[in-house]
Amino acid sequence: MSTLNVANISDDQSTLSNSANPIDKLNNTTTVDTKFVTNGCTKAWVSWSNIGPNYEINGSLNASSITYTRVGDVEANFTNVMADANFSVPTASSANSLTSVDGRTTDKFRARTLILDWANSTQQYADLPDMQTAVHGELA
Amino acid sequence: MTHGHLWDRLCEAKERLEPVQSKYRVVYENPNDLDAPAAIMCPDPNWMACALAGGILPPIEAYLRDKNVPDGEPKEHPYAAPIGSLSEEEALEYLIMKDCPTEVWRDYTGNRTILKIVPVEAIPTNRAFRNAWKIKQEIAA
Repeated sequence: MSTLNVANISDDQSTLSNSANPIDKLNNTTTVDTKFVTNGCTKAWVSWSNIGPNYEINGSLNASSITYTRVGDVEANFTNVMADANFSVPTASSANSLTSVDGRTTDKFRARTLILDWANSTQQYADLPDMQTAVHGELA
Repeated sequence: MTHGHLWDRLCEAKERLEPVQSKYRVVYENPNDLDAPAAIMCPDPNWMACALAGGILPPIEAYLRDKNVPDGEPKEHPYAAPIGSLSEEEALEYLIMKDCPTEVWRDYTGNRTILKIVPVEAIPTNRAFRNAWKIKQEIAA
């Protein structure tokens, strides 16, 4: 595997107006520190099924397992844990219902596991057909 | 250090290795929560591919030591030298030690069976009473 070592990434501003988005802090810059890219990328993601003959993970990065603890309650375990519990979790489900997400972490090893509680449109805990989540933050 | 960071190895392995869906699931009960149903742990297929291939995952001892490291402090497992390939059975044992609570696999002293590795087919397809699932106790004659 080859490595590309660069400190900054330069974008082509020739096609953009400098006033296109004045509240964007990066709008008037021509170069971006690569840390913006590496810090902002998804550190873990997982897509899994809850319904059907098998509990199964369909796709993932940096997940070691999913634990179905009870109806609507799922724990996603990381292979490379996060540095701390202060990570961000955009979460979705393909089910046509409201989804309630409770991103708690365990007391013993708070950055190891993401606990998600799922609810249906009547706010009852429920196993939804397909679920996905992703984690942004600092890796350990 | 020649082996790099664990996350880099995971990203590289995802490009190189085909996912392996395990034929087994881990079923366990939490002895500290008697009302809780049995939990079903599903191994991740990309993680299983890494375990079977070898040269990617850190030793389980690094994870166990890291459990005592406070939040926000440097962890050992992302930088630990990777272990060799495991069989599927060894990988499941590794995963139990990594992702199951220690009170389930290490500290429990009761005589009830609270941990089982079962084939996928043994998981009931009817989820009507999911919150009442318990591990069936085999009583010797």
